[in-house]
Amino acid sequence: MSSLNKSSLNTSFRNLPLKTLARSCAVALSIVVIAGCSSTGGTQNGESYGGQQGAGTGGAGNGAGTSGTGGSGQYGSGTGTSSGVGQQADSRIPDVRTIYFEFDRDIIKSEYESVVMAHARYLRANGDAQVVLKGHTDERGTREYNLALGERRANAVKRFLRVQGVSSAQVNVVSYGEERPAARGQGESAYSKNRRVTFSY
Amino acid sequence: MSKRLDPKPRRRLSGSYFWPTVLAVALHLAVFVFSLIKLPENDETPDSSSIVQATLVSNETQTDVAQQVSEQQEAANAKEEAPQPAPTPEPDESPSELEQAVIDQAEDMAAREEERALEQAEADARADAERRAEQAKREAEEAAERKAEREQQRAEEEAVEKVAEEKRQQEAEAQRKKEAAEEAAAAKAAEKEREQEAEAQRKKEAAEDAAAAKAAEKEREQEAEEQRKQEAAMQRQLEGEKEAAAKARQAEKAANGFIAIVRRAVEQAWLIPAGASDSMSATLSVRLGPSGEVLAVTVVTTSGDNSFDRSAVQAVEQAAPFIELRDLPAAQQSELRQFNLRFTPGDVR
Amino acid sequence: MKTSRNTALLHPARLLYGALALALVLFSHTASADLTIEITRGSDSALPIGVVPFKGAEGMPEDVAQIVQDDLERSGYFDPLARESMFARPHSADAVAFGEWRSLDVRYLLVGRSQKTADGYQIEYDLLDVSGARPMLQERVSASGNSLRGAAHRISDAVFEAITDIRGAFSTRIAYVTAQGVGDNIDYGLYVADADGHNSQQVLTSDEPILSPAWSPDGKKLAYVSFESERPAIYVQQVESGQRIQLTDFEGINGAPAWSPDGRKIAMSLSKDGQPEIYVMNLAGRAIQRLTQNNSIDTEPSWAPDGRSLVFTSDRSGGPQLYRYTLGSGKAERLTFTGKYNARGRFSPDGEKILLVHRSKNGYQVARQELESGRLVVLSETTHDESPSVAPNGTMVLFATQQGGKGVLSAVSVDGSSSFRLPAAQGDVREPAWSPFL
Repeated sequence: MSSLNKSSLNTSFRNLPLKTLARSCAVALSIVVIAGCSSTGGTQNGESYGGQQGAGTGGAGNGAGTSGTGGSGQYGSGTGTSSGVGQQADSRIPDVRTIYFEFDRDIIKSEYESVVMAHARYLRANGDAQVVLKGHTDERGTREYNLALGERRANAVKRFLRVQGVSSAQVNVVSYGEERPAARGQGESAYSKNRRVTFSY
Repeated sequence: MSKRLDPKPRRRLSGSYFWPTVLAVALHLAVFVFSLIKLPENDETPDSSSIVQATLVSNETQTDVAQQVSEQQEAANAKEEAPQPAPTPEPDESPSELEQAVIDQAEDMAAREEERALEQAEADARADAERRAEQAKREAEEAAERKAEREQQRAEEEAVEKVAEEKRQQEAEAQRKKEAAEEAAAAKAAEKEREQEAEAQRKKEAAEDAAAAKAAEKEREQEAEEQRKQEAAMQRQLEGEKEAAAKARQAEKAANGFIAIVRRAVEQAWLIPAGASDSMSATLSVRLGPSGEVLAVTVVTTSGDNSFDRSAVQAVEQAAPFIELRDLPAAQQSELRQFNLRFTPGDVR
Repeated sequence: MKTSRNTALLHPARLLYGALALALVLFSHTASADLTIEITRGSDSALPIGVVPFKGAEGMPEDVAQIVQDDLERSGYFDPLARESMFARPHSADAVAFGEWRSLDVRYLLVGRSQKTADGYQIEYDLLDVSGARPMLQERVSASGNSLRGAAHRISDAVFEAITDIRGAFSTRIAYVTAQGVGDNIDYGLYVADADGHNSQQVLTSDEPILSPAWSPDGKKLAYVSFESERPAIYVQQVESGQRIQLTDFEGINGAPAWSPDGRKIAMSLSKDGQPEIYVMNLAGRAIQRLTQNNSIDTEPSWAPDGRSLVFTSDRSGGPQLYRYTLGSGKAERLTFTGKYNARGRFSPDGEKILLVHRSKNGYQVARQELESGRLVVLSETTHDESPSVAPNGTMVLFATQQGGKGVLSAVSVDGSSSFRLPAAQGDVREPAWSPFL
């Protein structure tokens, strides 16, 4: 009969809203909690590295430079970077004093940022210390133009250091262009070793 | 479908049943409203399917039937509402047996009456529905019949028209044929006339021609005689010329051969200076001795560049002597001992 | 039917006669002295020349005829006959059997005789046109025992100019930089030598890099970049006396010195104001004038022969290209549009071409760009080329390249047709600079 149906309908109506409400509350709460947790992870590398570094900065979340070992292993300075975190002793000139560049580029690669950071820390901690940034290129192209390219690379490192708070009085820039190559010969293995900036104290 | 009667209270006490009644009524109203809203959207039977069953006959009458059903239900509901019991019985007094029996009997009777009333309502509704259905059916049939009639009528009319149309066409055709025939005849007549006229004209002209021809004939014969005389003379001359021409052609061939030899030899000997531009051009005048040796070579048109001019002169001197000169017929020899050479590297390099 | 009846003028037979007559007239006309044969082909080969060993060469410290023969061959214009192929060795014009030399397809012959004198030697020589069997030159030169090479080069100059109408550049010199060693232990040297690489003379040694030597227009001084003060600075040194001055000491790069044609100014690239720009320094007062102003690299300036404009390298368009700065207007216009790397431009002496380093799909090569048409042609066949330097007569380009992993000097003719390599020295040779006419 209709009235019986209506009564059963009455009871169910009263119960249902409550359940739904509770459920949705629970879901909302858990979402909020989850969101709160994940947002804290993104700003791990809070320090900004200056605008000119086009390469992705802290995206991989490798603040301690774990990628440094991978990238610079072939250049024989692998051990240096991984101990970058451990190099809290800013009284010592950092061991790794060379960073390398891509062909025709003066952008500091992300894998070398830790190296430059280490030097920045040292220089900040030792206001009397002076460093000469020596810029180099591989031997391709004309000599005077390469002199200018080498200077660009060294200047890029100098800018980085200044952004890190190092006084420009402590930093000098000299470009050797394609002079004084680190590796003789032709071919990319030699060229890549020559496209560099060295920290000379 | 089962009919379930709600348990009724033993006694109707207005006080204790007030609020439940109000709520119950309100609920019934709510349900009623909902059922009203629902009904126009779908063809299904309303919530309380126990009362009426309405079957669709045709679209046209759907809402009518539905409306009927709802009205019936209204009536049924109204009947129900009057003796509405509370959901739970409340026996707060124990009645006597007689009273109980009377109440029971009254209950039964009322119940049976209700049943009958419901049945009757049902039946009425059913009958109504059936009647409606039938009526609808009849109307539909009639409509169909009428439609058929109309169509048939239309068909007949069309047939008639067709016949008329055909007839008209045939007449038109006949007319056209007649006109065409007339035109043809007229044309033929005109044609004949023209031919006759042309004929006459021709005859006239032919006569004139004949006369003129005769006169011309005479003239011609005279000229021909003269002509024949001239031609004979010319023929003799011509033969002589032909011979000379043949000889000239031979000489030309030899000369061309010699020129080709000279060109090839000079080209092979020509070392074009490195700085020569494609637009440079120098012309030399060359005089050969009887054995093809270079007697004189002078720059007629300079290229503007001394070393270019010099290279041209050197090319000639290196290519000489042109001993093939001696193989030419005497007349050619003297002619070909003097010629120009134009040096243009152009874009061949 | 009426047929028009004319006189016999157009009768077929008459027409034929007329045509033949006309043809004969024409033919006989062309068979006269106005016949012109068209010569449209030749060969680009070098000129075959016979340089006959001079009389009296035995006992002389230098084989003058051989030096002349090598000079002429290196120029790319001549193809000297091998001595073994000479059937005779005449020493004067009247001893030359022209017909026989012609049969060897030799076009020119150089014969000579040298005589010892009190203070050296006297050399007489004859240059002969073999095809025309006539003499072209009859000259004499004298030289001391030490300067015989110079005398030979003067003979080469005379022969070269008599035949090609181009001034010979065999008596000029070249400057170049050597580098020996590896890593941070490299010894650098700046040298000058004869144009054929002989008679080298040290100008500077250093354990810091030396670059960009540039001859002054009078051929007496060299400007260059040296790192001896641990920074690149420009110096000017007298070649004969060795005296020198430091011209610049600015912050940053001091590079790419280039003498103006009147010898009074030097253009250079300085980065003291932030990034490398082109400046012109007046040698008299050392005042500098800035020419370029932008955020890109501007370097490697070089003057046009008329001194009114400079070509320079700039990467303001994203990669290095050549631009021309006109001093009067102060405007720079781009010159090169072929490829993504064009640098180190040098004007040819006639001002019509620029010799440069162009990066093609094969590598870095010496190329020539014609200023009028904008056409760029690669000249060298090697692919690690740098520092092109044009001979003062515009015929050859000297440049640095790699051979067998070593830096060597090579030369290619400006029309691309010939090339030679200078003898390899110890270590690497680079940065050549061809002197002006001396």
